[in-house]
Amino acid sequence: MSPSPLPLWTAAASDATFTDPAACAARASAFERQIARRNRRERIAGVIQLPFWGGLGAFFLWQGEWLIGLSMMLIGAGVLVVFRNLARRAGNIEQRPEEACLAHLERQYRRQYEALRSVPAWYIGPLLPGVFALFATVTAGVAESKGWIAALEGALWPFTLTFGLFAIVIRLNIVAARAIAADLERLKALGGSSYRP
Amino acid sequence: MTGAIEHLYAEAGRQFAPALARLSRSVERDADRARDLEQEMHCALWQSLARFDERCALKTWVYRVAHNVAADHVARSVRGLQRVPLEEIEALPSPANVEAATAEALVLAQVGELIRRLPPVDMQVIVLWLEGESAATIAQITGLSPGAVNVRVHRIKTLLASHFHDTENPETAR
Repeated sequence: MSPSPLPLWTAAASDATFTDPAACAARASAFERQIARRNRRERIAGVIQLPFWGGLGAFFLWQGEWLIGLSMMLIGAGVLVVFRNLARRAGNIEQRPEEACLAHLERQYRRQYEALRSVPAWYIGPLLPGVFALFATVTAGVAESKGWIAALEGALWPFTLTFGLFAIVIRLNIVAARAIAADLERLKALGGSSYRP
Repeated sequence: MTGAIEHLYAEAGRQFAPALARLSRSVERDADRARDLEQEMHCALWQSLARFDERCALKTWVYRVAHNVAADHVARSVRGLQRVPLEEIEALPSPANVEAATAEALVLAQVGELIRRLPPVDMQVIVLWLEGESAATIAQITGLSPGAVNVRVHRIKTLLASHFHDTENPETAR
């Protein structure tokens, strides 16, 4: 190490010391408690979904509306899968802070890129069977009494709104993933990484 | 094993505690959050030392851990600030803290402001260069090619030199 090109810089904070390891242990426990609280919140949010969608599904089943009841239960199952995917993704972060900074940044960007790019699969996808089934069932029910043209006209706006919203979410995530892919390419150029998004 | 980790941690503290404090204060303007970030670096280092196998120098290990924790902190906390690559910065930015009254504090505040505006890779190079590390060491810590480090160091030197030249000779300043 040579003298600093800006001695003012190295003169600052010259009396700093490291944190006591006991404080690190306390900090780690606080962090674990925070993670446990977050996991508990997510489990509660998931459990709340069960009576809501299960109740709705049971109500329609009891009314003899089998297909609508099953669609509601499919949506509920989809929401539970999304919660599970969220928890799994949050729990898969491997901590390796000692790797070279470029590799660390690349891993950070890659994880974000893959999460964003795969939003249709892990976030939107689980909801689709239930939503499709609900639209199909309601539309077929209306068609029985009013005819298919009236049923399809009635379903057009809710269908467009729902799937338009899904499309916007997917599009925004793809745009963000592309920006991260560009960052990854720039990092590759700096250090000769082997990763290609 | 715990004894060896404690020894390494104490050694790292003796050598690098001030450098890590400077790093955290340069990437985080808020004093409380900077102190918290500094502690986060220490604790990440403490946990990582169980894996230290002496395949690199302790200095490389410490700086890698600290800079990666800093990069994660920046990624988590800074959403609004537009980051500008080093090659696009023409002059040292003005510090947000107008009370940085003395000339020295003003220079450090300006350098800190510059660092906070840089993308993580440029930030890592400039902080390590300010610590007096060689291009080869910076390349080893960051994973950048030595050529890429040299380009960035040259750019930083030009930026600082033009700033000090302008400050010392205000009549020549643009």
